[in-house]
Amino acid sequence: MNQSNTNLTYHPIDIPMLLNSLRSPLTGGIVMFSGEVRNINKRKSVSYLEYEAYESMASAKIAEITEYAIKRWELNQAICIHRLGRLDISDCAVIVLTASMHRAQAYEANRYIIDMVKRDVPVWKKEYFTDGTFEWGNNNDCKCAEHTV
Amino acid sequence: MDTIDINILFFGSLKTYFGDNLSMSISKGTQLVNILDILKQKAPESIAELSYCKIAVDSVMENENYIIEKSSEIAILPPFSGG
Repeated sequence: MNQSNTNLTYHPIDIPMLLNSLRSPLTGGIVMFSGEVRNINKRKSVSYLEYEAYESMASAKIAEITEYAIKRWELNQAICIHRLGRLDISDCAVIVLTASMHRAQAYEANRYIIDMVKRDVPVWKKEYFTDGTFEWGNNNDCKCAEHTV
Repeated sequence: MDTIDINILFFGSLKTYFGDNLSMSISKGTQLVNILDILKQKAPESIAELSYCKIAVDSVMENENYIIEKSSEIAILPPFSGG
């Protein structure tokens, strides 16, 4: 992995550290979304997941999405990090943190970022089930047609 | 006719048919749709999945009519499933 890809990681995401990094005297609200590994999908029991990405493009796209959100909602800061590699149940797969003077902007921007990440970032999920089978995911459920960067 | 080298990257379920990547020499001026045809001939069982894929050339999304003029990295991208 390119070491400059700060928004992609093969290691567990340190949520408390990230949350603290966004605190500032100008910030009135921080919103956090953590996409987590569920133990069931399509009525099948999930054992673990693997994520892979077209890393150079995925990293650039996440940066583009967060930078756009910072400008559009006048955020103080925004962070989005996606995990890659093997993830176990209840691991954080993707984190989005948005910090702004007022909560409304932080909520709206946060929703926008995760929707766009799911829609536009080249990342793929492989689900391994407890019955020994596996399946490549297709969970892109973003219906937000008005979301265009 | 001039030839150029391309490296095709595969992701997700497409790795089942093509592995991680495939390098080949093509004629300068080949369109992406021609590359897809080559892939379909190599692995006919991939035809349905290829029809849902997007294509990036050097990390920029392009359509099937894009003409390849220089050595490039071509990524075949199945529907995304991150998040």
